[in-house]
Amino acid sequence: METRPFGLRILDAVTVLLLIAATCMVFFYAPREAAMGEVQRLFYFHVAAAWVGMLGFVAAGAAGIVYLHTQHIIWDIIESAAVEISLVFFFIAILLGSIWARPIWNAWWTWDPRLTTAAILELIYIAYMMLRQGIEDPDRRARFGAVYTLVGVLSIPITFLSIRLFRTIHPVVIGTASEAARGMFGMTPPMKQTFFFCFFIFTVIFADLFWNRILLGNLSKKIDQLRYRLM
Amino acid sequence: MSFQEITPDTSVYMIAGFTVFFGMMAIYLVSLFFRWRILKRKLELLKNMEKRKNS
Repeated sequence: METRPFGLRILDAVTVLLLIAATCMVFFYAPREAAMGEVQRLFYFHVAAAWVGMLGFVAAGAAGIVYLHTQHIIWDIIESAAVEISLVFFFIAILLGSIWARPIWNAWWTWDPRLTTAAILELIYIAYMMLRQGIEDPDRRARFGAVYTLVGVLSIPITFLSIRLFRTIHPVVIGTASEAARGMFGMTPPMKQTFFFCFFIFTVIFADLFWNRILLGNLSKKIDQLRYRLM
Repeated sequence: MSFQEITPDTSVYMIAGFTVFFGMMAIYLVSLFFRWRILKRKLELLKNMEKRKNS
């Protein structure tokens, strides 16, 4: 019987505890933002989820390169695992952003450069998952996936830089000196600490889910091999 | 007359946001758990079939 490694079980437990800690920090440590009120607390999870989403898409692109170089199927498993987890986190980031926007911009959605490029990015990787399902030959599927993620990863810098390159209402929270670009986001030290803590915690959550999902992919590969032997 | 801004009550949106986050995470974790269970059962079944085939 396949079992999960002890290290992964430990990581699962640590991840849950860290997520509880992050949630407590968001609610009890970070102060309420004066101009936006309670809804601003979503920002900590929104940015962290978007970060993890982009991290996974980049990881998938890197795994695609390694697959094309080595032709080893494990890299295809790693690549699809990264895309699946990133899709979930990026979708969460889009939803949280939309919920935040409703009371602040008075609209659930606007076709702003950042929102549009983020939606396109999500759709590119949804298409990746759908197209993979349509290819039965594992080698062809892996080759297709590797090339697709390599092309798909080009949309990451476009999405990331969209708020810096175009005129947009989406706030630029990190790496800008401009008051106007920051929107209403001026962070006090406890807000900054919560923000970076959430960044770290979401990276740990990603690592934990990634490990779990790779094991699942490995199990699936084992079943395919066994089924092939029995045919 | 005071020009001090009043903080708007946006707590409903905050609750909705965190519900979405934890709900989505729970759905994904449940999906991982069930996929893992189904695959484990399939593996056991195939291993038994292989044993029977070899004996």
